[in-house]
Amino acid sequence: MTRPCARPLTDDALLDWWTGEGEAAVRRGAEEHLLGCDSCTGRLGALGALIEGVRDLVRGGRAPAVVTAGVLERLRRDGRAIREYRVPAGGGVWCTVAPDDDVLVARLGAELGAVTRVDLLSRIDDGEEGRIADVPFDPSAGELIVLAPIDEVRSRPAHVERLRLVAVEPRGERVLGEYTFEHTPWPGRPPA
Amino acid sequence: MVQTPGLEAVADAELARLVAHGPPEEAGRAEAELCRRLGPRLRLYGLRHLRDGAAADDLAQEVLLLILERLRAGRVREPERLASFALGACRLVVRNQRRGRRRRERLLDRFGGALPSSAEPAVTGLDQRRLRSCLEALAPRDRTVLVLTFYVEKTSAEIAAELALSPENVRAVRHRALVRLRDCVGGGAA
Repeated sequence: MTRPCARPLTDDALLDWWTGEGEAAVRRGAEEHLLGCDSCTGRLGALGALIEGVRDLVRGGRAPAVVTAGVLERLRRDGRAIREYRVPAGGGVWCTVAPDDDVLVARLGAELGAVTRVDLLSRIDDGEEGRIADVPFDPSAGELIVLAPIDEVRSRPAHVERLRLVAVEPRGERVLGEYTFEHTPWPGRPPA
Repeated sequence: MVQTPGLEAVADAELARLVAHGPPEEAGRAEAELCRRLGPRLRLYGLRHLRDGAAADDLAQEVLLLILERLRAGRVREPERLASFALGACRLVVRNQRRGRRRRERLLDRFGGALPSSAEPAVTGLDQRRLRSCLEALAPRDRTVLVLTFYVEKTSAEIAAELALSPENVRAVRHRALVRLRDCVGGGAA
């Protein structure tokens, strides 16, 4: 049985404390409250489990997401083995996933400076084209960094995946780049 | 950890007084109850400031020992301010641990490239499959903000600068994403 809290911290206060944001005095008050309160500690514990779960998925290469270079730096600091393919707009690459790889990354070169919305389209072999609308991006990066689900790619037979980045603009869509990934399962070595 | 019968409803300060001045058997039971309560709180403090489960466990143990030692010696003057005392002890231990960590990081920077890849990360008590499908169900921007916040530990201002958003927007996205993720993992639709 957890003793009830007379003045429970809000979700935002818990999150601010965890992330170190908001006013310092408020954070200090929350900190002291948490050290004396089972109920709020329990809620924070549940939040912490979610956060830790998300971290585990990223570290294990199992959280497909568009990210920034900071994520890759952190993965390297964590000792994760990253297999990374940089592909310029209009380019292609032979690719694979080795048994020791932890994380699979596609770095799609594109000029994103004057763009307000970008969609990422993907087609495997002759399958239907899927669309991920409104992906986040760093306009100054000159690329879109995509964490691919390494376990799914590893389990697939040889295939070709075509990606397209399109800028969605008031007058229609404009292709920013097309990228071809010719995947060969390990141990098939990618041709030189 | 199991609750100590008869002491569940007793306030922390009263437990502290029992440890300091109660008869031996009662003091022992009060210590056990105090450890049961303080352990998770201290560990969360450690996770927040040290970002490492093992270091957080060490911190919780070290601070608990310090608190019990002071209580037994009658050196905690205001038991009703036990949380303040614990906070002060936590800050001290965190400072010491950070010194050790900085040294480890310097060594890792120098020699880290020669180390083999680390083992598969520990799995939390959550259903990872469920969490993954819930994470994938989020909008791309929500997912990115959660990854940058919780994995890279960037502030909302830093994320805003990278993704050409406002810090307020990032905070709103983060709040919404976290509520959706929690509700989904808790049993809603994935």
